[in-house]
Amino acid sequence: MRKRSQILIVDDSELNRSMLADILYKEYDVLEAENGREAIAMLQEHEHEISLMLLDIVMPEMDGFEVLAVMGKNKWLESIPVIIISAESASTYIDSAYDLGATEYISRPFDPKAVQRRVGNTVLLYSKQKMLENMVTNQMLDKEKSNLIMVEVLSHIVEFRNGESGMHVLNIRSITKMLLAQLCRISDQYSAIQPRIPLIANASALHDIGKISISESILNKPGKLTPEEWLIMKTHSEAGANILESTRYYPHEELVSVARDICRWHHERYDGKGYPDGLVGDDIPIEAQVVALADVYDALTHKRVYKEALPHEVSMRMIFDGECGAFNPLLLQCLADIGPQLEKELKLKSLGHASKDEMIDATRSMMQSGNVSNRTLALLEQERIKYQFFADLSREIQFEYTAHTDTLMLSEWGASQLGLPSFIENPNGNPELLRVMVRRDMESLRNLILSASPKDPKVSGHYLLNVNGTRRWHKFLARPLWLGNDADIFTGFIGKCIDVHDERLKMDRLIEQANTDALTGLYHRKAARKVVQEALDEAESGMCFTLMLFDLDFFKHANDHYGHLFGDELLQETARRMLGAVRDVDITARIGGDEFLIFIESPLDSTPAVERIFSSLRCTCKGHPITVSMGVARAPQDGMQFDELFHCADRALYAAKQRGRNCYCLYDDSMAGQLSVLSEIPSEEAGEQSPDQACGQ
Amino acid sequence: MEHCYEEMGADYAEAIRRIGSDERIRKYLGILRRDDSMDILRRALLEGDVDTAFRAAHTIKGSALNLGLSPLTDSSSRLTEALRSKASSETIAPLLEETERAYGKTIACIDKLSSRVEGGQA
Repeated sequence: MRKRSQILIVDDSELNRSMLADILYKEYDVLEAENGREAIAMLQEHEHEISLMLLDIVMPEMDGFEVLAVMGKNKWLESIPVIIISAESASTYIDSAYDLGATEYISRPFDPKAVQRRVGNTVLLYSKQKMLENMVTNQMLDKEKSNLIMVEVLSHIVEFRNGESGMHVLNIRSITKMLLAQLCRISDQYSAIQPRIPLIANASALHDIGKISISESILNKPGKLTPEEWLIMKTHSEAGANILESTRYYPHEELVSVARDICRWHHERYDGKGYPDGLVGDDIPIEAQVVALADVYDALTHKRVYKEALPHEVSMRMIFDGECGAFNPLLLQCLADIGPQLEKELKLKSLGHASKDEMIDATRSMMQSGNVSNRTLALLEQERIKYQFFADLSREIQFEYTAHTDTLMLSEWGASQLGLPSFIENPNGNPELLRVMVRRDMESLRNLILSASPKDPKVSGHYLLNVNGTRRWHKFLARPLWLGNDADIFTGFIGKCIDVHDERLKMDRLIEQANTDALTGLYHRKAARKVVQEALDEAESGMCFTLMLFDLDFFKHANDHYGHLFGDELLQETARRMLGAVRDVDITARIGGDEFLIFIESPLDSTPAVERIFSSLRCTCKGHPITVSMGVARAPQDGMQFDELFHCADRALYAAKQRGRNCYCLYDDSMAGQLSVLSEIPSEEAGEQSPDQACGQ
Repeated sequence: MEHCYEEMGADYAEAIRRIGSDERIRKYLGILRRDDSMDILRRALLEGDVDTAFRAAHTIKGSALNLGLSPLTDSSSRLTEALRSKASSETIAPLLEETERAYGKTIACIDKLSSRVEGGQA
């Protein structure tokens, strides 16, 4: 059974509603609203189901005129006809109602038959119109789709015959599009071309169809063509034009006539040295000029049967040096402008991405031809507003990147927080953006996002952002977007970032605590090893370093004699003196009980520095003299690895002890066989000297 | 029903032509009986709320029109127009009185009609 149409009756008088409902209930499902406000609420809920509305004018809350105005604003009037039923017969009322978009006006008292008939006619008329609209839309969509497909198929036939991958057509299309867009940007003369860009790009796909008439032996000949073969090859541009001219769409169908021009003249050159007609300058249609340049660039940067692929820079230089013939200087300017983008774009494009452009093209032409209903757009707009609303509430910096338009959108709050516009075109390398996030971080974030897969799309990372002049840690959560579930077609990414600076600092402090010795605040051995190795790894050539290893002479003695607390004080005093003797950038560590390490960047001859540090460690603490024995190793001569240096310093320290303590020794090869102090802890019994004696030197 | 319309001075022939059956007319008269527009009208005029008064008068007029209640239609139409043009209370007072009279008579007739029906059923 056919679904019954729904009719909404809006009248404040129950009697009126009841009378109308009685007239209509047999054929229609009747909804009722008591006033304008209720009516709007019902429309919002049942917009797509209501076929017609009967509306009273004089009502409390919101009158009929206001209802009409709201319906007009929401574009509901396009799909829902309104019949006014009113006891008003004043012509101003009737006129206003019609002006606001009412379809019919029935005055009270009404004849039930008249109401029935008018309602019936109106519902029928609108549903017919809707059906026709749908039919036209579908046909347009089909036509658009088959257009694209046919163009694609045709051009691919040529390419496969030509032994090419099928990418050439797509590349030509992208480059043509980019060149034209840039041309519109920099030149007023060509700004009118903007709306024709998609069409020209589609037509560009057909530029080589004339090659269908060239024999494969010439087409796929790896070496140089003979002059005769070359003459035949050159006929392809004319042949292509002839093919198109002989279709019945030429010259009335714009796509065909533009394609014909492109076919015929995409080998002309600006100086008149091209073929087949030797046109000069702007006698060559701009469409053909653009495709000619796109063709040359793509041919250079890709492998052909007669040549290898050349890098972007080389290709650009060849074009600008005129090695591929003369081009319109304005277009060369465009090519220079889009150069970096071009390089990236074409690199990104693999076969898998091929259909991306097609989808976008189809969508865009659908939008342009108005086939997406206003209602769909309104719904999209509503979604956008919802999203915006929640984004503003959340106090997070939310971002959204659209690959196709190469634009980055920031939530309003986020943008104001970062002092950025909420809409950034070509974000890569945008100076304002670079002020907020350094290039290295930006690339790292981008790679992080691109590494995600549909199976595990969410990524997160920490980066520093410059907020109001201070760099603060932010946590980024993001995910790429693909067309459907197919990771081949990347359309952009979305995400948010949250200020985690304070948390992060707390974390850093904890890490620092974990890296340092609680008693002295110096690094412990493991941390020292790490930071020293980092310093060595990052060293530039010509830099020298000195690693000093020392322990307190007869510390065990003092410890045993005066107690651990006193021992601790000696250690703390030593740490203080160490810090006093070195610069902030130097590395100081307590690597064992009474063993310390100092690592400094030093001149090649580090003896004066070592001498100075050694002496400044000698002191008296609470009447107790402190002296140290020190082993010294130097980078690069003793090694560039921490372990090597440590090993050498250790041997030198042993030597210093052998020499009677309270002295330092620089490592030399004679010590290679020495015992280790730290790995084999030699006893202090050997000397059995008293501290006083040792410190007397 | 015809008798009732006669009593109200209303046009039964027109009402039955448009509405179709006595049963329906009775139903609509019942709805009119329950309608509180007259109360709203009185209160609004006491409070000097002309807009609300206009809407209420308008509703009464619409109902009277629908049901072919000619005397009530005439008086309420005149009142509606006076209220629309925000006429002085001197102009409005007699029109209100007239409307009240017609309304009262209509209600009385409706009540008589329904009691007769109920009585008949009992």
